[in-house]
Amino acid sequence: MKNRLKVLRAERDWSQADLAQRLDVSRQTINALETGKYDPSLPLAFKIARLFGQPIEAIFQDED
Amino acid sequence: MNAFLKNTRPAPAKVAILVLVGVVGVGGSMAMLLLGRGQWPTYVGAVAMAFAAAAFASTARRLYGGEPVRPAMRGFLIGFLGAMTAYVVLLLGAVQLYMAGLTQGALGYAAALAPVIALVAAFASLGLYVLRETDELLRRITVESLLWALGATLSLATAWGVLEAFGKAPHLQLWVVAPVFAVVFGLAQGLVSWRYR
Repeated sequence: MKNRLKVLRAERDWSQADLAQRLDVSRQTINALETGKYDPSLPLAFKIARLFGQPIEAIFQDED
Repeated sequence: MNAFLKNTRPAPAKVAILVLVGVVGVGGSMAMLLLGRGQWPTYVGAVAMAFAAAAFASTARRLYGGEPVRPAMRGFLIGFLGAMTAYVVLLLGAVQLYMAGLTQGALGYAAALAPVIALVAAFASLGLYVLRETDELLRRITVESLLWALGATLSLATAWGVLEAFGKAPHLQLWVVAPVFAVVFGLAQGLVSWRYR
């Protein structure tokens, strides 16, 4: 699944560690999400959407 | 916002990892000391354990080196290190008693089973870690690695057992199963983490 996490993070000038801390996950998890190696659970996806103030489908795109 | 970020003081993840690897190393040499008697599985086991510890250390350092230790991981490290230290001490004590020929009576049961209680505590700390970890990817990596370790250990143990029954392998005492599980788990942790890198 593709996502715009890296772009959204860059817009705010946050490091992976900053985003990890705001979401209470490890930096490794942020990296795996950004590279598309891991798709988040629904609760984590909602948490990410709330943090960036955007709907989930504006951040995650359901395509291969 | 900045205060929120600065609130968590970066704990020395590297130190924790080094201590963990040290304990694994001690466990490896303990296994060698116990199996001893110049049997070849001893050396293979020791080398495999050292290799697994090194692989785990390098992966962990790369992944978590600069990060604060997560609360669940801190709890696990404390519980696991405490349990493994107790295990090594109790095992050394039990071996001493055995060498002194004091394990013939009821004391033998107590001496033999005391280290196992520590081992149960070590496994319990691992289980508690999975329950307490709030990071879903870390949880998944741990569970996946446990499944690899489970499958590999059961397969290896069965293969060895059948070979032994056919007279194609020397007798191996069953306690080696736990160290083998630990080594495979360590290797799997490294490989599974690397896959999600």
